[in-house]
Amino acid sequence: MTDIKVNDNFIKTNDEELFTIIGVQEESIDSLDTAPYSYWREVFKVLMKNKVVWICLGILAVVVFFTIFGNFWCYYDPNIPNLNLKYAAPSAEHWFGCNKDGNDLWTLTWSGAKISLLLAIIVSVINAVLGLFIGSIWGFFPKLDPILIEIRNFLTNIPSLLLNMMFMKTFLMSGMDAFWAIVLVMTIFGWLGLASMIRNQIIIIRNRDFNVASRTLGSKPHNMILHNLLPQLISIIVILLANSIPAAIDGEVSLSFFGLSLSSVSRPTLGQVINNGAADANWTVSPHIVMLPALVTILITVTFYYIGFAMADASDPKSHR
Amino acid sequence: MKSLPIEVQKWLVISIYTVVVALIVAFVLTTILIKKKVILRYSNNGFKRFFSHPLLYYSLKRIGSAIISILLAIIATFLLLRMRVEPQRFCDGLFIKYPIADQEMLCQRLLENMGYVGSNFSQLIKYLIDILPFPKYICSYQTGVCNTSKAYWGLVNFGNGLYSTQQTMTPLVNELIVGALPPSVIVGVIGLVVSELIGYPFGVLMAKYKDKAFDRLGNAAIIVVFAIPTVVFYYLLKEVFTLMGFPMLYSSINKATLIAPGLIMGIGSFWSTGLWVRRYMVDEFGSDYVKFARAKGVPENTIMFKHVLRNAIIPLIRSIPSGILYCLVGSFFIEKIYNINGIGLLLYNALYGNNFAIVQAVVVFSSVISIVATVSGDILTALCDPRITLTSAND
Repeated sequence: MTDIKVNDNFIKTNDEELFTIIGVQEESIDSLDTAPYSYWREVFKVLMKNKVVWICLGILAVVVFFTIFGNFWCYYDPNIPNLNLKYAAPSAEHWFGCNKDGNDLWTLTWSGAKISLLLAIIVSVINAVLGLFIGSIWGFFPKLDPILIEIRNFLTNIPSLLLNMMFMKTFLMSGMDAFWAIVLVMTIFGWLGLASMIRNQIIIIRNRDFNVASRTLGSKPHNMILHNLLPQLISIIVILLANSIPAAIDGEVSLSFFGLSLSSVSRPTLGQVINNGAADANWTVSPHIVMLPALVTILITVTFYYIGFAMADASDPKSHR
Repeated sequence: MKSLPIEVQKWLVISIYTVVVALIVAFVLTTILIKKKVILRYSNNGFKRFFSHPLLYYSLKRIGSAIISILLAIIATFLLLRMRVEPQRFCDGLFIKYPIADQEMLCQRLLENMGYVGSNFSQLIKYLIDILPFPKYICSYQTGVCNTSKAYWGLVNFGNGLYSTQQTMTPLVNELIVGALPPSVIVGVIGLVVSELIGYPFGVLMAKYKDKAFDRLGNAAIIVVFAIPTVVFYYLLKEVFTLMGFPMLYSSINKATLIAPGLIMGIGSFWSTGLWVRRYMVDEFGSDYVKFARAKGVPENTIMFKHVLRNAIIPLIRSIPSGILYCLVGSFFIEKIYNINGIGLLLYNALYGNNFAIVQAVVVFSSVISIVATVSGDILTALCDPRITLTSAND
C-alpha cells in the first residue's frame, strides 16, 4: 500500500503547479553554469602552489631586471679601463669590483648576461621550432627513419663538444661574425635531441585508440599532429625547452673556455667574463673576479632549470584535479 | 718496435699485419657463411654452435656499420676543415721574425709539409690512405724531405702537425697523441673509480630513503649540479681543493699532482650515475617479484641488494665500457684548468694555434673510442640480460 502512496506523491510533485515558468533567457543559452576546464589555468594553479617556484621566479625577475637595466647604474665604459683599480674589491663605486685590466665587473657582467641570454633564447627558439617540426614529421612518417637515424647515429658518435669546437673554429677562421657563428654552431645539430625525443614519443602514442579513430574519420596529418599527438607530449616538450636555455648558456661558457666565443671587450659574454677571470692566476687571491659573474650565471641557469622541472611536473595532466 | 732496424721493422709489421687480417677475414667469412647456411648446414657441433650464436653476427653487423660511420666522420670533418678555411691563414703570425721575401716561401713549404698540395680531392685520398690502418712508412717531414732519423713502419699516420715557433721540425701527430696519453689516462682512471665508488652508493641510498630527507637533498643537489655550467663547476671545485691544500697546477715531476684533478673529475660525474641508479631501482620496486619477496618476509636489505639492485643495474652495464674507454681521452676542461699535458690540452693548443691535423686526429680518435664503447656496451648488455635475444622477429 505504501508504494501506491509514494506513487501518488510523485504524480503530484510532477504537477505543473509546483513550478513557476520564468521564460527563456536568450543570453544564457550558450553558456554553462560551471566554469569550463582550462588546461593551462590548471597548470598555472599547480605550479603556483610550489613555493620554490616562487623563489625561483623572484630571483629570475631580479636577474632579468638587472640584465636589461643594470647598466643604468654604476656604468663604466669597458673600453676605458682604469689601471689604478686592478683587482679592486667590491665597493660602493664598483659594486662587483674590478678585474685585472681595471674594468668594472658590474658593467661587464650585466652586458655579458644580456648577450648570453639573448643568445640562449635565440638558440633555444630555433632548436625548439626545428626540433618540434622535424620530430613530429619524423615520428609520423616512418619512411624518413633510415635517413634521420643514420644522421643521429653518426652525430652521436662524435663528442658534441668536440664537434661544436671544430665548427666554431672553422666559422671563426672563415671570417663569420662570432655571435651568429655561435648561433649556427648550436643550432646546426642542436635540434636533433629534441627531434629524436619527440619522434620516439610519437611512435609510442601514434597507434593509440584516439588517434586511430581520428585517422579513420579522415583527419589530415597536420591536424592529427597538432591536435592529437603534440598535446599529449606537452610535459616532455616543456622540460626540454626549459633545459635548453641553461644548456645554451653552458655551451657558450664551454666554447669561450676554449677561446672560441665573442672576443671583443665591448661585447662580452658571461662565459668570456668568467673565463678571463679564471685564466688569471690571481683569481684565488681576489676570488670576486670569477665568483660574482659565476654566481650570476648559476642563478640564471639554476632558476631556469628548476622552473622547467616544476613546469614539467605541473603540466602532466595526471597531477590535475 | 722503433728501435729495430728499418728493414726488420718493415717485414715484421707486414707479416704480423697479414696474419691478423687473414684471421679476421676468415672469422668474418665463417660467421657469414654459417649464418647464410652455406656451410655446415646440418651439423650441430661446438664449432657451429659458437659461430651461429646470434650475438656474434649482430656484433659483426654493428662493427661493419660503425666502420662506415667512422669513414663518413673522417671525410666530413676533413672537407669541413678544408672547404671553409683558406690554407694561407695557417701562416698568420708564424714567420714574422723572418724577412718578408722569405715569408711566402716558408709558408708554401709549411703547407706542403701539412699536406696542402693539389686539389681538395687528391688531398682527401691521400689523407684516407694515411689514416686507414695498413702498413706504411711514417716519417716526419722537414723542409719537404722525409727525415729518416725519425721514420718508422706503422699502421696509422695522422700526418704532420704545424711548426711551433720553438721546434724546427714538424712534429708527427702520432707521437704527440701517444705522448699525451699517460696523464690523461691517470686522471681518467682516478675519476672513473671515484665516480663509481660514490655514484652507486649515492643512488642506492637515495632509492632506499625515497621521499625522505636524504632523497630530497640528493635530488636538489643533482638539479643544482646539472644546471651549473660545467666549467664554472670545475672552477669552484678547484678552488675548494686548493683551499684544502692540494697543489694548484700539475707538474710532470710530481705525479701526485694528478690526484686533485682526478678527484674533481670523479666528483663532477658521479651525479648522473646516482640519478640513474635511483631511477631504475625505484622502477623495480613496484614489480611483482619485489612484492612477492616482501610477502615471503624477506628482510628489506636483502630485497634491496639481492633482488632490486641486480635487476636495476642491467641498464647501467651499457655505460661501463664507455666509462673505461673515455679514460683515454680524459677531460678537456680539467686538463686545461690544471695545465695537464694530456689529450685535452693538446686539443686546446691545437685549436688555439690553428693546428688542424691534431684537431682532426683527436676527432677521429674520440669517435673511434665512442663507437667501440657503444658497440661493446650493447654486446655486454645482451650478454648480461637474458631477456635480450638480438634476433629479429622474422628470423
